[in-house]
Amino acid sequence: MQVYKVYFKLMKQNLPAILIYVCIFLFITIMLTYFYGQKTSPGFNQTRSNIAFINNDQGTVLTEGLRDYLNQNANIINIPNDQDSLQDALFFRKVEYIVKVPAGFSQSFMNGKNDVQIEKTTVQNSVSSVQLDFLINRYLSTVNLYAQNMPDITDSELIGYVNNDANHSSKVQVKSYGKTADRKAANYYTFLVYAMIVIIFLGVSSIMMVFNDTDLRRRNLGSPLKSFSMNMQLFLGNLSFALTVWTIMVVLGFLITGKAAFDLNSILLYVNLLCLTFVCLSLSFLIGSFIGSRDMQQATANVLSLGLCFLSGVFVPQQLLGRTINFIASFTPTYWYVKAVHDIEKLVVVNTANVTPIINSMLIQIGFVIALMTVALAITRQNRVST
Amino acid sequence: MFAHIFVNRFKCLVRDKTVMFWTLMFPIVLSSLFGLAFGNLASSDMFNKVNIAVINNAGYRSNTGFQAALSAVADTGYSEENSLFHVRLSTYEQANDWLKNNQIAGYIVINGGAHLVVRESGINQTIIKEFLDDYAQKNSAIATITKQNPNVGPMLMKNASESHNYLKEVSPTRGKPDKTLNYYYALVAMACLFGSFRGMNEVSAVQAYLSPQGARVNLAPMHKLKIFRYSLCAAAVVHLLSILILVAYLNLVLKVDFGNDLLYILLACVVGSMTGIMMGALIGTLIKKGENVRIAVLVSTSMILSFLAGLMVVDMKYIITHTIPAMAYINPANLITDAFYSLYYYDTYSRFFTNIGILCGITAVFFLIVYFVLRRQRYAGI
Repeated sequence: MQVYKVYFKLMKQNLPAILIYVCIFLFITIMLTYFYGQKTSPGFNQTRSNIAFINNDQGTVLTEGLRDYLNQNANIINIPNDQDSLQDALFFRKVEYIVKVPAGFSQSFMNGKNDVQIEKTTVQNSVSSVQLDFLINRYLSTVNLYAQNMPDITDSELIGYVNNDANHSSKVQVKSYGKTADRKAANYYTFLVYAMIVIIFLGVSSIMMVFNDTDLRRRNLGSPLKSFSMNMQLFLGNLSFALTVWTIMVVLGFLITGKAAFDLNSILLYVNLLCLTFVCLSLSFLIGSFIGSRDMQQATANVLSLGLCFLSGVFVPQQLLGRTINFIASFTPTYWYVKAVHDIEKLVVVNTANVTPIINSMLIQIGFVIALMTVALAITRQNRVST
Repeated sequence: MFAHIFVNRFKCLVRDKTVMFWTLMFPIVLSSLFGLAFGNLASSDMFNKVNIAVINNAGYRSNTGFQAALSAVADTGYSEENSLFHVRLSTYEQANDWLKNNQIAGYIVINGGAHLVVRESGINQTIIKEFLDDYAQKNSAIATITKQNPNVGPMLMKNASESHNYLKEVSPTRGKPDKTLNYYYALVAMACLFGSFRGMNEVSAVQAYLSPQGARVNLAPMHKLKIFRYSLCAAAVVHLLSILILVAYLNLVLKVDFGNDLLYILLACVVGSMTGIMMGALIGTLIKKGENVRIAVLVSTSMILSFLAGLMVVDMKYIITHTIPAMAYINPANLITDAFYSLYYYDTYSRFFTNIGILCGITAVFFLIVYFVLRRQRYAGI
């Protein structure tokens, strides 16, 4: 087992650098798990966006009614009504949406002229802006409906009716079927992709670089050790390294989610992560055989990890990426990993229909492993013949 | 002498493929990925239809109003492009089964009013609830109106189904607040900080124990710090050029809005790249371990700082701004991001100059530390 021993000697040499990466990427993963996890979905415990409500049409029933309505559905933050404060509030995201009611709005609106419009300032591409647009338009549409069909109604009567209507919200029943999804664990395992790719790639390629050095390889080919045995030992080395990383990550998962869970969902997460570990291993093995220098190694690690993470829905959720990107992403193994994590998160009832897609995603990852390994082995063979 | 060192150093730097990759190619590749990932956020391709079920009970069958409202948003026909839902009629047991197996996001029960059964909260579930609320509120309004004024006829239903937009988008400032822009600005900040590779290499090139060139330079009859300053100038120029190419690529190819003040954009690039280079010089001077460790520290520092400025997930930037405001003011990546953002966003320049000022301060502190560590170093043995 000389080669196997050398593998870990080399690993020990590279340990300081790799440890730095482990710490950094775990820091990023943990930050994301803790801070970002809760914010991803606006639910029925309805996330209330922070908004500013600037009323230049003081004292009318309509604007007061609108204000009350918004107050029920969002947090109204008081901000002085001057240009600078408003700009700064948006700049620092104290608020995400500013509603400005211009003077004379109520009168114009009630007369059905609509020539004075409410002004909004929003953060582009944010969920809160869509939600608030919807709320305000709904409120005003209802007011308009009354104004058009009951011409004799007084303003305060009208607002009374509208407020009454606004209280009609549909009831929501949340069925948990005995288990609630563990979002924290799912987030941790999603964001972990970034760290896994970088750490395994750097570890494996650091060793590969040494063994692939032309002179060293010539020397090794001349040794009495069978090349099959040497490759197997290298393979074992890589495997041990990958499994160590996997173990560390799973144990860290225990610490982060606060419990060492061994129910079916958690075990599926661990197995899924194991599949990803093998994907990273084979990917590193393939790409590692092209890498000649430290700098190139760093460059590849970062392009590979960030590229795969952005494409396959680690940082930007898959459902926001749209069909085209998701289609492209389905040609990457990480897409299937992330998909499996989401499916596992939602899994509460164990039956064929539910478990099959998860198993399929794992099998596809294993398929990628086999494909990548085949190419890698073909290339190593080619390299050996050519030198 | 300046010209000699500057020109030769310049040539060396341009030929350094690795650093060229980090400062130029890597950001361009990454920004193209951003373009792919975010290009979609604004387009209509974004929403997939939500699968829902409606319980086919007496309540549903008798409620023609709800049926009409539902069919307006369901993909009953084949060509319904703008529909929200894929609706299936079912029994309770069937719907429960689907819900358990994640085949639907939720199901609707009409029993007097409409109510919704879901398993979790999420974007899709919120869409269903908004639809139901809208329906309930309109219904209540129609009921009230017909009670008060029984003479209104078909006009009411027509009015009720119309949708208006009563809002006008205005921007209090030059640019509209935008989430995705932050990603690109943070990317420029990252590229600026990757200038630290150049800074570190310049330190190695004058330190006798770090490189053969350093040993040679120390023998030359010239002030070491002068050589260091001149080669720093060359590094700054090369780095600035690559940042400008990146900004041009973002602006011209990916259509990222940087505002209109070319001169100030240039200023931000200059200060940003100087900060990056000095950060590298600082790390290069302070960490005496092997090259591996130093590169690892460099890459991770730049990545972490950019991460905190919102490079991977933009909300991180605001979480930091609200929880640890001081951190936001000393993180160079955040300052560079904010400098670009304030150029885009504000009509005035006070916020921009605050950021640039702090950046200059940080750069000066870095330079002083490097200066005092580097000066008068002697080597007993190398």
